[in-house]
Amino acid sequence: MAVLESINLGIVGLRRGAFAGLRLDGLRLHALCDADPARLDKAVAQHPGVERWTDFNEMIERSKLDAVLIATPMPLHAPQSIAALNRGLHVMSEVPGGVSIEECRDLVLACRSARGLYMMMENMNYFRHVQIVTEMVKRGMFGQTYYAQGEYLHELKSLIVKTPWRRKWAVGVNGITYGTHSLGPALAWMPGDRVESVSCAGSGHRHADHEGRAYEIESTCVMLAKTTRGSLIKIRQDFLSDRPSCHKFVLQGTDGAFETSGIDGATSKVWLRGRSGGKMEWRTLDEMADEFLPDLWRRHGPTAAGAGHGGSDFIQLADFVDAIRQNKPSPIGIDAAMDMTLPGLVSQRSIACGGIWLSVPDSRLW
Amino acid sequence: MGALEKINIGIVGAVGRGGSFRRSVEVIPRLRLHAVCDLNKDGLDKAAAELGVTGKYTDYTEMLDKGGVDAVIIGTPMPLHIPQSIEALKRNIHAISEVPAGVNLEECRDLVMACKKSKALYMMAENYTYMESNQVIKEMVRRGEFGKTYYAEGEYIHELKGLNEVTKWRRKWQTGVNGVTYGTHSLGPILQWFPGERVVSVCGAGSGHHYKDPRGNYYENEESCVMLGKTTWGGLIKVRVDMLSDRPHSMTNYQLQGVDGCYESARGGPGDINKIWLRSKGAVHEWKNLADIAGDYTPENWVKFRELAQKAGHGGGDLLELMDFVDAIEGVRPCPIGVHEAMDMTLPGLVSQQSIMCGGQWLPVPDSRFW
Repeated sequence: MAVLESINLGIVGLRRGAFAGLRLDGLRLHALCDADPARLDKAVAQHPGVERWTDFNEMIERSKLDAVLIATPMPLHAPQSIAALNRGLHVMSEVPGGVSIEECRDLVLACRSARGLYMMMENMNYFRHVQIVTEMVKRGMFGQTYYAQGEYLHELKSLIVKTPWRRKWAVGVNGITYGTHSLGPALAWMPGDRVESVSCAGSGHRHADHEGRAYEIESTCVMLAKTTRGSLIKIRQDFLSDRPSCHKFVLQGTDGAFETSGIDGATSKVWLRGRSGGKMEWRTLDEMADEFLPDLWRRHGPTAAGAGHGGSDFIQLADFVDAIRQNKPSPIGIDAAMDMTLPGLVSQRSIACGGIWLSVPDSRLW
Repeated sequence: MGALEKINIGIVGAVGRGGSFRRSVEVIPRLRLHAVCDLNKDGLDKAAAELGVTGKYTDYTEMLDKGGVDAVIIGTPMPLHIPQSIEALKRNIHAISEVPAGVNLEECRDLVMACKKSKALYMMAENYTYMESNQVIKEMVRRGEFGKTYYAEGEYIHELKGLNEVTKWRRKWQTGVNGVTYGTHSLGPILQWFPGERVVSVCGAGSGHHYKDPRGNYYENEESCVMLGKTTWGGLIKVRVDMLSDRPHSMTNYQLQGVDGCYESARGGPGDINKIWLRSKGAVHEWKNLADIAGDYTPENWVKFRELAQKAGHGGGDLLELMDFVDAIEGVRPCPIGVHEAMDMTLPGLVSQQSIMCGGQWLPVPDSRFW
């Protein structure tokens, strides 16, 4: 595909409206699409001149697009990505990549023959603190990493009432249904490795929805994941328990350790053998930011500030546009996306079988 | 034993128990330090002097037979806990044992049998259950503030590769066995937050082998061992023990989730505090500092404890444990960590060791009450 001066972007799924407001060199908002006419009208009103579509397949067929951003409910991610890839478009998809192993396989095959790039938008990988730790790992400061934890705890029982697809796809299935936000960073910190097998257990069904039906997901689900190199990752997901929200991480390597902590997990602390002066004491991540903030953040950080999710929404978009314009591989291509997505899908089978350890397929072999 | 007679205490594994322990004993009127025993003869003299006792022994059964002791405190290496507890119990001598209760399932069974036959009391000294924050949470749970508790985490992260070379039994019993070998400090307090429940099955997994001892051999224990445990009524507990990874210590990481409350302990970072949310204190999901509301949740034993702690001149440590021990002997209150509670805290770790050998298979944890 010829390098584009300017990429015409179509966005489908406007509830997460913030994407439409992001301004980026080389990216032009060309079309907006949503099945809900009221939501569509509201968004179109904010972007005069933009095309208006209520049907995704029509939009990708008839609009002059180069790329689509898919921010629709979870079960549409894979089918819409496949349709767009088959038409030669670049695709940015919300997480997770898909909701079943079968449709993930279809997505992988579509990517193999696609002309456009596929990127799964795991924005956690672009958060400032995650990027600093990723850079530290890349430079060998952690030595060999072997243990990681990701916990995504975000009570949203009332949000589920407002977005009925969540009642089915986020909490209507037992096991890890939304694990990429945790597994994304954890795998970024174990470069070259992937999850080989998982076991998943839950804390029992402790909550019922507003109609009195018990949620099919156990209130807290924990997935243990062994990697091909024998490392261990623990992922916890909880959308139902009443408690303050947080997104916590832990990383351990032979030469370094990292934890988010404090209120909201907002304070990040790190110990690096190479920066410890022989002492076994935590230092704040901020103290090390100057030395380890990666290029991407140095370049885009100031512009990203104020954009959604700590600026990560903007930066991941910028990264994708860079890849398209400079003919580079997708920053989070299909195999990376599958590495983050498949373990959760397998965990759903594990928890249905009393937590037995099950293998996670490697999409590279599909 | 008459109601007002002194309880004479013997200590085995005495070297290392210092003056602070003595001060705790001194403020409890019924207790008297009476004899000490240790294989280390030089340390023994020093320990006897510090503890203010004249009875000195290098042979444990001699101390039991001739030392005039009514109770023993067993502070020896892990594999001796049960054999020495059984020797005491056989002679109707009360036993308080260090943690964990034992190192394999077979000897745990022997301990339970010995307790059944003995007139004496057995207590496991899981001192982390006596930490103030853990006791406050326990009281909150007791009063229903958390609603039904259903998820908890405990982590014991204490790098001690160097210590393994000093107290060499650790190289065998703590880092020389795979799986959770030292989990009672985590599971102990947690189980007290799940009243009426125990861990019924476990799955163990580890992070691989990345460290070698000074002789060039990998430690048999994977550095971070994680045990997931299902509880009686379907709750879930996660315990992580890591005694090998290089990182700052964090031995008292705890989390608890119930229908109506959530607790996360501080993890040792800058600005971190013990955090709590209780529905009764406000519906909005915001953390409060545990210290700010702990005052309303003083456990019943604590008024007496605070008086004595002031007299003893230090914060607590052994004192609350010893108070509970005396209360149990006098029949005032049941022992909070008797043999079955000790088994509840110990057996899951032992089964996790079997699980990790079988690729993490979920294995049932026996209930010692049926032994």
